[in-house]
Amino acid sequence: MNGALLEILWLSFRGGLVRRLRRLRQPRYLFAMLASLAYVAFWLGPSFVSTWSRPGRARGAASWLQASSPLLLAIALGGAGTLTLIWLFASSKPGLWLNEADLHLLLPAPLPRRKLLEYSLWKQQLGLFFGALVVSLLRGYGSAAARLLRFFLVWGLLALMTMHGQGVSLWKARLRELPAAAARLRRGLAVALLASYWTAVAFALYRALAPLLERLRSGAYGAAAGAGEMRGVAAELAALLSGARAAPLLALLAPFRWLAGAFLGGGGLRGALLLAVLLVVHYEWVVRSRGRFEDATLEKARRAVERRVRRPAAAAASARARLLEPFALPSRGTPEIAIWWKNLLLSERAPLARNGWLIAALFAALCAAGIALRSPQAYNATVTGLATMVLVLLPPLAGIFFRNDLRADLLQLEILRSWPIAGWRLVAAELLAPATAALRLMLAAYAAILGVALAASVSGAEPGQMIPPGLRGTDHPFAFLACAYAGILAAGVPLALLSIGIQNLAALMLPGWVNLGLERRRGAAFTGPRILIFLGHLIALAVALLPVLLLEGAVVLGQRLLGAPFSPWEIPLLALLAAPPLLAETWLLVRVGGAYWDRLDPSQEMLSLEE
Amino acid sequence: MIEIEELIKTYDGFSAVDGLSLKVARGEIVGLVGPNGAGKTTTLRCLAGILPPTSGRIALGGYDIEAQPVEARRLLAFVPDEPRLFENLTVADHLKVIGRIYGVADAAERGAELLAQLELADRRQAFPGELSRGMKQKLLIALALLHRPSALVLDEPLTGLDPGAIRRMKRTIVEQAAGGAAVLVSSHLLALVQEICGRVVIVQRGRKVLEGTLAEIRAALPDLGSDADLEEIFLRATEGPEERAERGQDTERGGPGGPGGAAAGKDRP
Repeated sequence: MNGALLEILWLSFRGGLVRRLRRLRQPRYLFAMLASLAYVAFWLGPSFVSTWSRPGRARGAASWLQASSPLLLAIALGGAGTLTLIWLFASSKPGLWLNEADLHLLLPAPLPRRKLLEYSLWKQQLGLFFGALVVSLLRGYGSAAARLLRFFLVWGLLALMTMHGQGVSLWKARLRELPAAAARLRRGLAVALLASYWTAVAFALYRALAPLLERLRSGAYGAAAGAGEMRGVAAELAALLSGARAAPLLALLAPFRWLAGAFLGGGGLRGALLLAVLLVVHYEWVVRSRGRFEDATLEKARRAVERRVRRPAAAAASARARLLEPFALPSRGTPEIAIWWKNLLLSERAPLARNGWLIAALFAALCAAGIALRSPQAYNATVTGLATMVLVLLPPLAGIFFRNDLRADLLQLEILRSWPIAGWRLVAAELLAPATAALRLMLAAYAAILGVALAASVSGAEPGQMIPPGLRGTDHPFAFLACAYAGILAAGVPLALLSIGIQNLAALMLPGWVNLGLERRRGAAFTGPRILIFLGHLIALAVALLPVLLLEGAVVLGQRLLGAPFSPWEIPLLALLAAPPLLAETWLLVRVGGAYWDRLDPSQEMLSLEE
Repeated sequence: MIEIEELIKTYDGFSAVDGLSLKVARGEIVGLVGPNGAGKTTTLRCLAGILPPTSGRIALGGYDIEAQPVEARRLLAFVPDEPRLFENLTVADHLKVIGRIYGVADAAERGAELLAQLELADRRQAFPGELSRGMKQKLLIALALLHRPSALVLDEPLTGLDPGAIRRMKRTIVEQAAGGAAVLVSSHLLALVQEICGRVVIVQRGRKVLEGTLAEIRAALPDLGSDADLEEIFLRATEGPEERAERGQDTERGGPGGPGGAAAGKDRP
């Protein structure tokens, strides 16, 4: 590649690294980084270190990846299918991995086309390297050499897939420029090749599995196969695939098998060699292609910039939808309501009251379905399980799921900072819209549980089945379910507020790491900070939950000391007891965030976030 | 109405604003001009409460921007140089939110009136992404004027506007001042500053170089002559040592610049 382009790559990489390292001069960034690293080391460190000298585990993992194993063949078939889908659906407008600055500076420069394509491919590798590093080194096992080989394989496969997609796109773009007859001929050849390949694979698969299919058709394994019979089918399948009849199938899928085996840890050097050859071939294919990419790349770069600040759905809203609002906003009153109203609009342009109707409709629909189906246990368990997951998992992660708050607003800092509103009131107002979104989902989950429980009561089934076994025994199971989940809801809302508060405080204190704007930014540069912020979120939540756990523990201990027996009806009360400390902590976060906002100097980071 | 006393703003040891003081009375329009990097935008951002000053005092209508920020900001409207708006809010939504935040009782009527004045009435339901840069600038100005501010701070307000809009904008600024508002305008369009501003402050490297009416600053640079326009004054006031040396050589050769040039340079802080 051209020396100047390599230098751009190197200087950009070095500049980005230096910029990130410079942030660590600020104590708050350094502290956050050290805390997150300590957390990672605490959880992952021991297993990471202990597996460095255990190649045996790698061999063990490879044992199920023999050449003819059904799983490996299934993955190979998946790989072949993916490749076919790329050929069928790859865009004929190839958008290369270049940003607007690259395009504006490099397209007019006297550079051969090949150099630009090479620059794009090389630039892409940084993100792929980072992803491969995380996958292969942190989550892997075995010796240092085994990990390095896995790193190469993971990176190579990712690079191969992206290069293949780009190669096909450039090839399709070239077809658009050719005379119609020539383009038709080439397209026809490609389709014929793909069709022939899949015909051969289908025939070989049928040939290999024909005896098993025959036995299944004849009912040799019975209609309702039990676990033992399933094992029998699996054993026969494995035997058939390792026999002579499967040889054509294995041959047809050989490249995919080797690559899949290498990727999953069983292929070793053979897969690596094949991968290296394929990478070289693909590289040459892409850089020698002649399809036009300039317009599509410019469009892609422009969209990438727009995505950071604007959701495309908003601009596409119909004239009628543009008139919708969460609720009527009078021009007089507390300004916090205006901020809540505005942030609700950021995520959805719909009346807030409509949510009430939707939740009521969900309740009615699930109740009616339960009654119509006579409330089968599978139905009750599925709905209750999913809804419980929402009620339990959503609150601590609400700050990560919903971001129509300060994180979106900090991009409009110059407007926000000049508003006549005290810092803590602004921060409090910013929490309301994401909390509303979380509450909406939690209420829907609660309505689903109530709907199913009511259906169980009405249809004569036992709603007590929906209660975990250790807590059963109440005479009023429906009332118990309603109260217990109401308690979880009552504790969940302050927990969601706390979670959102933590993320907002992080956005104020560590704006260089928090993804600002409604859209999540992609790429290696953002993955590291995102992991750090997620870890920090978990640590902060754990610390915030300590007082709650101490309080609950003290109550249960006091009850034991007094000799009072435990009743399941205490669960809603214990859940309710968690709400006040959580609310108090959220209030503390709001006051801290407000004080920080009031004396915030955004000149260093926030005012240049757009650049 | 607007008082800045000994404002200092530093970033990582670099002084963007270095001891700047200025006042803008009610009904007065003051132009803040200076070369790129002179500290104009930083000064205006400090004034709007966006950046905290490193030292010095800023007051609006007697309220200290740091001690009583809410009261001070209620009097102020700030139009930034880069029109960044809430991308998922329509023009009408923006007016509603700002009306509520500033407690404007007649926000709907006033908003409609301002949109009509700024020729945005037919774009009420447009998102910012569907507006040109000039239209976004007009929307920012409508939002700024919605609560009838007593102090109006404009950073490059005419960037991206067409000639017709520039003329209307100049009229609007003058009307605001005539209505009793104190107006501080930063612009590189020196003809505009000369036309509408009663007083001009020229800054360079964060410090005030010259201040006064056009006649007063002409008098401070007597070699330029009584008909020198603001552009000539600006260039002379902000020239660097190389330009000064070049002008000195020209003078020796009998070229333009005149003997007073060196004296004016010496007078400068």
